[in-house]
Amino acid sequence: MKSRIVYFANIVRRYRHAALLAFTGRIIMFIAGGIAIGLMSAWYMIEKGSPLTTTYSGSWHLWTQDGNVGADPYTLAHMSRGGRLPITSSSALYFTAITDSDGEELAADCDYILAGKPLDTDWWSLALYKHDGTSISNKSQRSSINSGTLLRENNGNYKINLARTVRPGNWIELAGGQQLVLMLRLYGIHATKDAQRSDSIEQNLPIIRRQDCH
Amino acid sequence: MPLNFSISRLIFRLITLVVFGAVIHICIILTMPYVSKGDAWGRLETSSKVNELAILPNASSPNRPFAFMAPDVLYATCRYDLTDGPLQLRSPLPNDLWSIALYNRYGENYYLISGRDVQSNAVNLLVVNDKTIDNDKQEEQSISQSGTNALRDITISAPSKTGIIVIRAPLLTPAFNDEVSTQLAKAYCKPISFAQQALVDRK
Repeated sequence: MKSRIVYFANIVRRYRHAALLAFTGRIIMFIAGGIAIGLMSAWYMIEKGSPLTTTYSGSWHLWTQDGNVGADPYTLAHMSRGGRLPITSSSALYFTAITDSDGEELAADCDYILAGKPLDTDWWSLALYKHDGTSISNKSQRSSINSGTLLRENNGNYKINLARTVRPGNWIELAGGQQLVLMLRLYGIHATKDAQRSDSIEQNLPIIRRQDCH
Repeated sequence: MPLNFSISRLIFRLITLVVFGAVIHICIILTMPYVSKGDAWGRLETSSKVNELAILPNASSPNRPFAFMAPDVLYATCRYDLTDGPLQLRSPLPNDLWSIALYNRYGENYYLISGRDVQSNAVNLLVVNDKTIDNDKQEEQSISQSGTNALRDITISAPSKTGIIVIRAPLLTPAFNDEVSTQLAKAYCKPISFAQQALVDRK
């Protein structure tokens, strides 16, 4: 009789352990799942942004509240994680592009032509970077071009060549492998000249056309 | 019935999971500016002292503190702390494109002035932690003063005791690098109490 009681007691204990283990496992999975959801969604919103915080104009991506006092928490988190100090978006705009106009990733083994119209700003600068924001070091030291040095057509339009080998006219020397980033920074956007000006700027941003790949 | 029960339980668990994930998400987003060691202040801590102007290495230097620095802009920064008194920043503004931007500790650009705004060759900013001062009025007064002055004084109210000032000096062409560097080297920032002490010492 005693041995039967011990036998049943062991069974109950074993099931208790199993139930406790199953419960603990579910809690751990729940917490891990919640943390994973929170981390991944936060990373995406900070790195990539959403329609609430960013806009796209062709290939060009813009954080609309960059640098502003009272910017939304996502923009603040984006600035702080990137260690950035942008000028308020009412005076400067920072567009980035990681793809060409067909959505293909920018890479140093392809040539590109950027075709643009005049941008209504005091000064602008286009620069090429690696994906981590490191400036491209190339032999010719031509990793950027700005509105002060740009060669334009009679109507103000312009073309900029991105290529590994020297090109006539406006040229940025490509280097640095894959996952390149173009940043177009526009200084002297005056908020008093209303939002239409910002719209016209976005319409006149250069189109990035891929040429030959090697 | 058992099937319905398990589905409703599954939906409940999924919703709970998403709500828990959302709480984690919100906590990360809201605390990021306050805990991130990689923010602008943190990046400048190793290379510059508080209340001193530092000319940043150029964009291609391995010692550059920031990512995505413009290769055709020279930068100088001043991390300030107004705990012991106001800060004086003096900088040349030799052309319209130069700008001085003031940020709070978390990178919000609360004040910006460019060469185009002041129409003077240099500017003398007094940064104070006094919320009774209206920055917009200060700027209006500055702009309304006619003519080109050699130096313009502007008092700026900082929203908090710590922050960062960035002077941007665009290079029209690389040939201007030395000239612009020389101009930028004339800029300085220092606590005003120290400056007054220096005047007293001189007497």
